[in-house]
Amino acid sequence: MDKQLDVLQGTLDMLILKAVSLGPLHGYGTLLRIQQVSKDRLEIQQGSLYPALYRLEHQGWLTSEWGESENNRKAKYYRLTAGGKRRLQSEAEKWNRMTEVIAGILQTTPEEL
Amino acid sequence: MTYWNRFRSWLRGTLRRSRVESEMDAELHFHIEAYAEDLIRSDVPRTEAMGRARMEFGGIERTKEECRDARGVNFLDNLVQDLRYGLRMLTKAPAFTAVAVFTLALGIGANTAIFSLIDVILLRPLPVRDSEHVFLLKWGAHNGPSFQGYSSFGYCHIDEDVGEREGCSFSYPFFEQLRSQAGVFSSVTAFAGSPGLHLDRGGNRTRVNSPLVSGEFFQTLGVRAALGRTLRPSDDVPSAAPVTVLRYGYWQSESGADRSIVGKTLYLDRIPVTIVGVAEPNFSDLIPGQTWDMWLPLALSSRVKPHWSGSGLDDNTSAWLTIVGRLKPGVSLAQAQAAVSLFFRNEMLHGAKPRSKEADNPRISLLPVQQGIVGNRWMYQKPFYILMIAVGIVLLIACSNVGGLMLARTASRQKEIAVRLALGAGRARVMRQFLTESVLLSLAGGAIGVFLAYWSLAALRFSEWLGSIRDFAVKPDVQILVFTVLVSVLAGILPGLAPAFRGTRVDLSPTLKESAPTLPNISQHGRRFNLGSALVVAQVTLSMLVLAGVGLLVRTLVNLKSIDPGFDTRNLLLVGIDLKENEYSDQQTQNLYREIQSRFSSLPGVTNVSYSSSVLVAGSLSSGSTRLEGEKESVHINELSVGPRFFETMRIPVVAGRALAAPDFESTRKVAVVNQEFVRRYVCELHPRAEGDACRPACGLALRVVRAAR
Repeated sequence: MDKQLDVLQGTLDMLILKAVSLGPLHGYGTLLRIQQVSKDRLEIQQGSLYPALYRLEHQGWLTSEWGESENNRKAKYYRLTAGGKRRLQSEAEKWNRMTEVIAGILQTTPEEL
Repeated sequence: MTYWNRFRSWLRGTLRRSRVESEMDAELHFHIEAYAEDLIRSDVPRTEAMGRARMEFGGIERTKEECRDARGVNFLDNLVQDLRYGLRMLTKAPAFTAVAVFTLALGIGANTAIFSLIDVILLRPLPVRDSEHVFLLKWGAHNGPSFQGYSSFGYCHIDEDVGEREGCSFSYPFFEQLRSQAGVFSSVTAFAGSPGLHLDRGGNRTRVNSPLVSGEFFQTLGVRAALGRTLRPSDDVPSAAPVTVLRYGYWQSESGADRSIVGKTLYLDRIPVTIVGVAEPNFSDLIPGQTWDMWLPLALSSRVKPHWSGSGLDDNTSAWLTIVGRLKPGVSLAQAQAAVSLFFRNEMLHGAKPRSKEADNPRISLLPVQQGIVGNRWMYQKPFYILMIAVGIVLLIACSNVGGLMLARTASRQKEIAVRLALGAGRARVMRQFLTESVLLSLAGGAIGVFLAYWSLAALRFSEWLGSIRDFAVKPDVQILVFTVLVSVLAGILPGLAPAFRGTRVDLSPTLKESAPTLPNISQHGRRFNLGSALVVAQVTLSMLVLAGVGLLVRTLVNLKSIDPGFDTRNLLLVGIDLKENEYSDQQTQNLYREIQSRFSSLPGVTNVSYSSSVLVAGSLSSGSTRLEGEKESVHINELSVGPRFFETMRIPVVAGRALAAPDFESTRKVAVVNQEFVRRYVCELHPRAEGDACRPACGLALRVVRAAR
């Protein structure tokens, strides 16, 4: 499993929310954190990150403010809102149910039918 | 919450665009630079790092565009772009634009005009506060109760066709009883028409429209005073000094909105009346189209003695009051109906002189005031909705016309469209361009249409065609404007659809290769022909429909014109005289009429002159009950008092006996001329067995009939 996986469609928003929920991040930081946590097994298109961030902010799940980066440069930091927290929770629950069901289906053997 | 968020972020993106744009720019650059630094840290040469970071990031402009989309900012940008481009395209083809705008203006204008009439006459709510709790009393019975006098003032509409007898007029004693004893209303009021008083103003007398209302009128309807106070129950007792409340518009036009008017005295046919207040501005009428000037307390009827109030307020044989009540909270409609019906039954069946029979089941129904007090709105309902459908079809025709024109134009715009599509514009984006252009056209049409509508309505007000419509003040208001804008947008989208779908289905390469810019390529598959001919078919069909409708309407109008009213309408002129009732005694009135008659007769070119109490077929009639000689039951007849030479003047043929002659007007013996319908109904039908003779016009029945006219 060395090859990087593309992010499944529709899951990028959830991953961003999760990454930001661990602490405020700027856009680049979000990318790094997802890669770090996934141990570089996920490939995220850099260009697709920002529209997703803007969309989440537009929907009110994230808020942003300008702050100082690690190397003293101005950067835009994203933070999870209360609504975002609820959203992440429900998305995660949905995802877990989904994977459970699919895993169940995939593990079915002829004897079980 | 999230909608608010979205709206706020959209607003920010739209209003503070340059700031948002520069922030977006800074954010993306920060990303690329931070990535480049990380690359350098992992031993990529400094010279290459920046370029590699950029390349891996992908198209910055595309990302920005996606970000703008994500915030909904682009929508407005595109709209402004489309509008600008659309305007440019339209000004480039002024002839096309003018024709399309004018066509749509006619269609939209017609719709706005008719909708304005419907809005004002049929849809506008009564000026009654919390009108859902206010109800009108209507009586019903198998056979109508016998009243000696019965007057109604057009507040409610009685459907004559139903088998039951109905009515909305009650006697004052009944109202009195209801007011003092029925516990179902928190407030109940009665009102009648205007007794036709005149306002004295330094020798100049004008007639005022001043209905008589009970002291609870304003309280029941929930109408407040704009100035001073409204009427109170204590104003409506015989001993109280007469007071009045003015209509807001009347106060403005008659006194120039003089705020010191409260407390001043007016003279109405020599009766001093004190002004106690001015009603709130939106309260001018209960019946649409009828405007009141001021309201007087019912108690005044004992002084002005209108003929309809019988022998006075305690006369329970005359019904002349319309009654409206506001239900007490917690009382159901059925409860109230039962309670009020009980009163009415008692009054009708067990009064000093019973006026109805048990078997007739006299009862009361309570109608919501909005449905109950219709005035003459009911007359307009059908014709207006039919007109609305007709002008709707006219608009559809206009739309298909404009659609056809636009379709023809897309043919010449093929190249332009092909270039846009080739440069990467989405099909939806190009379709939106077309729709924007056609909506632009129709909005311009709508703006002109509003003016057309009001000009045509103003013209209609001075024509006789729609009769009393000129009593309705049609003013543009929010509802009408919203309607016009909606219709305009719809009328813009409809004609834009055809070219939008057809025009964007372009085979790119041949169109682009074509050297001549105007050669259309779309007729290749015969598709445009199909769509175009469908439009033509729709147009012709709708036009035929309207043409047939108009043909029928004209035919009906012609038929109506040729209906024989029973008298000769040619060269007949009508003069109305207001005699300022109180100043002339009966004898003086008689003399004046005779005098006018003889003066008019001596005018050159005048062959005959006569007078009558009201105008034939003009809609007003006096009626009364008459007992025929030898009959027990009295019959209900309509009568008209006429002066000498009436039959000669109107050229009404007399089929038997003679017309009224000069001696009839001098003698004390009362005579009348009846029409053939009277003979058919009361002579033939009452004596079905007496064949032959009895069914011929007979004299000396009950009224000393002078024989039948037509």
